[in-house]
Order: sequence, then structure tokens, then C-alpha cells
Amino acid sequence: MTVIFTERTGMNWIFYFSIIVAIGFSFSQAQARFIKLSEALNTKTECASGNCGEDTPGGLSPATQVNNRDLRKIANKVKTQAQKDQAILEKQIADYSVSAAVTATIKYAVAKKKQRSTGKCYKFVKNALAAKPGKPIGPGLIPARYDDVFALNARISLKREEHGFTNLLEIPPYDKLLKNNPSAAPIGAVLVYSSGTPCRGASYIRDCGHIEIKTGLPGQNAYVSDFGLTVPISETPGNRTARKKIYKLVSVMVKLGGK
Amino acid sequence: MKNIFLIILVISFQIHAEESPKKLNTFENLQKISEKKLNNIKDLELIKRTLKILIELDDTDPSRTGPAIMATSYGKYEALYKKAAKEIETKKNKQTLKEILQVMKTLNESGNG
Repeated sequence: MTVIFTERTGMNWIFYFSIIVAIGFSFSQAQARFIKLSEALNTKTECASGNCGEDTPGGLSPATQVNNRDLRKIANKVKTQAQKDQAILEKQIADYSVSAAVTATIKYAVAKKKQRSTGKCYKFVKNALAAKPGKPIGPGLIPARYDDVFALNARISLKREEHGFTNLLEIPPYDKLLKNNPSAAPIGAVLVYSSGTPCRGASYIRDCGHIEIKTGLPGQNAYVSDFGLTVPISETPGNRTARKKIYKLVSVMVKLGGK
Repeated sequence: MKNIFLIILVISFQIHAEESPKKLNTFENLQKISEKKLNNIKDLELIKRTLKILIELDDTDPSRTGPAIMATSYGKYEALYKKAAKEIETKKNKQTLKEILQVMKTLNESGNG
């Protein structure tokens, strides 16, 4: 009995000892991996702050250091150019909003609008865009009224060369800024919506759409087509409470660079 | 635990699915009617009710989205709409009714351009 007991205890002791050794070994392995990862992270952080190990003696080769410097220079140039472009774009939009042609358009649209819709939003908007300023005398936003049956098509028609409009929803950062947010559009912008409601010209049109001009600040009669609204049509209570929205903003058209 | 979570998910989905139809707003109801195949005799009352709704909406919705939704249905069943309009016409709503029918006609014949 004693022998068996001793043997068994001896075996147990060896078993427990080997487990402890195995745990210790895996712990040291994990610690080594953790240290390696921390070092890697530290290197990344240093790179993010602009120091990619150039100062470390024997860290990077001279050629790599030169390459890194060049890459940083290019990145800075691209960033500066993007900031310049953004500033130019902002100025162009601001100039558009206060231009004589936009002022004439807004004046015409506000004067001609009816109390309620007559079903001719696009017709009224086209007339307003063709309105020419009296003082100083100059061309309207478009040379003349053109034929087009449904408002949704304005997203294509206004971009044509002779009209020269640009859709801000296709230009960053306005694509994100103005998406589903017509209130943020600049004054004078032509807002085009899909409406999902069909109409008929020479043929059946599945989505007739809606169009309006932002004529002022929200709260006033700020969104005008053949009638005026104080909020964009997509933010009227009927549209907001519908599960499937009727009006969705698809284009925010402005004319850039005095085209 | 996983099963309990799944059961809760299924029950909440069922509740949502049952409640949703009640939450249809006026425009969504109009959309449903506009897609309906109408019978000139059986659906006269429905169109009368629809026109009354459009008249009521006219006070609060200057965009006349309601008539825009109904435009193609008007194009298909013009006689039915005219008959219904005649039956609900009063001195008070005559002008509004005329304008609503005109909007539907315009959209159905020449779009909004």
C-alpha cells in the first residue's frame, strides 16, 4: 500500500510539475509576443507623428529616408491643393448665390409663384432660370426656356453644355453634406427630387419628380416652384411621416465659375 | 440564451409587421388607391371619398402631392372622377375641386414641364 501510495504521489507530482512548466512556458511566449506587438505599435505611432525611425541610428537606410521625405512632401502638396480647390469651390458657390442672374431668377420666381401647385413646377422653374437681370443687364442662368416634359429630367438637362449647371451632390464634400439635406443648399440652387409619382407627356413617365429653387433662408417662402414652401418639399409633414418617402433629393444644381 | 434572443426577435418582428399597415399616412393610402383597378359603378363611393380627402388636404398641402399621386388613375378613369366630383360638389368646394381635377389632368397629359 505504502509503495503504491508513494508511486501514485510521485506520478502526481511529476504531472502537476509538467503542467506548471507548460503554463509558464506559454506565458513567457505570450509575453514575448505582446512585447513585439507593443514595439510594432510604437513604431506605427511614431510614423503617424511624422517620425518614421529616421532618427534611430541604424533604423532606416538613407534611400528609404529620402523616399519617406519625398512621400511626405507629395502628401502635403496634395493636401494643400485640395484645401485650395475647396476654397475656390466655396467662393464660386458664394459668388453664384449673389450673382445678378440668380437675383433675377429669385425675383421672377417669387413674383410668379401661385398660392398652390398648378402641376407645372418645372415650367415655372425653367421660366425663372431664363429670366434676365435688368440692372446690371446680363444673361439669365439659362439662355432661353427649353422643352422638357418632367422635372426629374432637369438633373440631366441642366447639366448640358448650353446650360452649364453642376450637381453639387457629385462633388465632395457636398455629396455628404447635402445628401437628403436640401436645407443646407446654397441660395439660388435648383433642387431636383424624385417623386415616384408617374405622369404622362407623349409617353408614360414612371417618375415625374419635382423641382424647386432655393430662394431664401428657411422659414421664409424659401423654396419656390409654381408655389412656395417654407421648407423643402422633402421635409413637409406628409413626406416626413411616410414610411417610403415620396420626395427624395437627387440633384442640387448650381452654376460655377461664372459659366 | 441564444434561443430566448431569437424568440424575442421573432415576436418583435411580428408586432412590427402587424402594426405597420395602421401607420400608413394619407399619401400612402392615396398611392394604394391610385394603383387600384377601378370599377365605374362599384368604386364611385371610393373616388368620392378620395376627392373629399384631396379637398381637405388642399388647405394644409400647397404642393398638391395628393392630386399628383392620383394623376395617372385620373387619366385611366376620367369619367368616374368627373362623376364623383359632380356628386360631391358644393358652392364652397367648387373652385378647389376644379383646380384639383385640373392639376391631375395637366400632370396626366403634359407632365410638369
